[in-house]
Amino acid sequence: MAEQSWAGITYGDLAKPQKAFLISVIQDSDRNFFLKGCAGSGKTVVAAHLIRILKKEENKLIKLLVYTKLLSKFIKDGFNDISNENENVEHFHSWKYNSHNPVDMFIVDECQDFKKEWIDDVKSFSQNQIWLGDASQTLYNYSKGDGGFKSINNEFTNSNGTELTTNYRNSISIAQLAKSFINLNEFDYKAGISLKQKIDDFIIPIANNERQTSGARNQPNIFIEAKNDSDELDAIAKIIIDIQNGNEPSKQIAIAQLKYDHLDWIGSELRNRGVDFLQLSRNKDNLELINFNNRNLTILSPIHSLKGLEFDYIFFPRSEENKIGFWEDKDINNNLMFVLFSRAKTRIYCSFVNKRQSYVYNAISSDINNDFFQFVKSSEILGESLPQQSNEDAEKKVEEYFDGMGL
Amino acid sequence: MRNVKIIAGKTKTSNKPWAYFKPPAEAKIDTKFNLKKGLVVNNINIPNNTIFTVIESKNLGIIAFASNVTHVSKDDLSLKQNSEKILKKYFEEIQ
Repeated sequence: MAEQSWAGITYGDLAKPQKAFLISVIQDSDRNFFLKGCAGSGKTVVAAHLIRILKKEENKLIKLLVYTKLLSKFIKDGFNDISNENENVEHFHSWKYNSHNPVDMFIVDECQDFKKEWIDDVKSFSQNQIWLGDASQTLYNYSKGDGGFKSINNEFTNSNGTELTTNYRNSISIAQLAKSFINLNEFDYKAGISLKQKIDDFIIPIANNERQTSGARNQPNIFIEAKNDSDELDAIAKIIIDIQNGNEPSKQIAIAQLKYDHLDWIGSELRNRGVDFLQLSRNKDNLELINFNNRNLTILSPIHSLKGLEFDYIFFPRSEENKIGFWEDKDINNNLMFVLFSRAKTRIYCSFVNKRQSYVYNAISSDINNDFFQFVKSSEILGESLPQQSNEDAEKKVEEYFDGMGL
Repeated sequence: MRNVKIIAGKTKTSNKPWAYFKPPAEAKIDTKFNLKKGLVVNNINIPNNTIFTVIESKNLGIIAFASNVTHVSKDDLSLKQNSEKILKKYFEEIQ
């Protein structure tokens, strides 16, 4: 089994703004900080290393609080060869309802989804806090409206606030899909940012990074149109098995749905088709079976649980709006799609039976004539091997697309 | 003030620090810009709320200029260098 930890990075791997933030905290860890950062900007990586540096240098009691159990497992796995992170990392509800002990410092990841009362709780149980968050990745209405995240923004206006604005995770192909779900939020309106500017701020740094625009990393995202539910699952199962049996060094896969009922159904269908995967249980009591250092990991998970994580491949079957089962407002629904697709490092697969009802297809339908998206029928997948462009072709097309944009 | 590149330096003779950037083309000569977020450029500290005044420079054309900026203190510099050492050492040790 191929194993490799995401946490094993070098000093040279850190981007300049990531280094600058870490240095500023090491310089003066007796104050509060707020690190804003777009999806894929390395907030969690920075936080996970920061806690270990501060514990060593300052001998302080510090805890990294995350929002989901899965993210807590991801961080623990990342460091399991060099230390035991069990006491360093905890998901918020575990701390609140189990230990609820005070610490010198809390580092709080995904704070945009924390209710105001949770934020107050964290503050009252610590001397200092480092908040990490991004309003564009808000997934819950209860935290969107209660002013908690806003209070953190207000506390750091003009001082101690740092922003990581560059996404280092997504290829330009993936970013082109994710950008279709970018919304303006109240903080953007306050800053006078237009939607075009926000999208440019997300896309342009990626377009300027050779690693993220290289042909090797830019297979187009695949949209599969199936005749019926059965064909759709046949095609998805075939692609997953092909990837799992392939020679790539890293092929972590997340198959995502919004609702547990839908995950149960898809899980059963994929199992019947011989797909090997781990399904995240509702009470997350099988977390220990998931090993994020296994580069051949395939999980079936709710979208909400994928916050903060990254995978080589994201699969989003049954993308019709009525099959997704959204229950929040449109902004949150778009944030969910943005968070889901921005988890991918290599490629996204999205499928539907009814193209016109696909939430994802409708979001990109005005921009489908480019080389970042490829549309195939399930029969093509089931009848022959997956159509792929050579890296050279893909690279040429990416170059052509950006030619003339003056980037 | 998004996406502007602030240039900072010091005069050769008096060692006095300064900072400037190219304002938008439509800026009038008497326009003032208020820096919302502090930053350090070239070891010169430009705090938040620094006022940049648009002037016409002989050599540089229209620029937004600020003279009320300060050198980063030696204490700050050594603290920063020390923090950088700590960071480098940590990443060497985990390899």
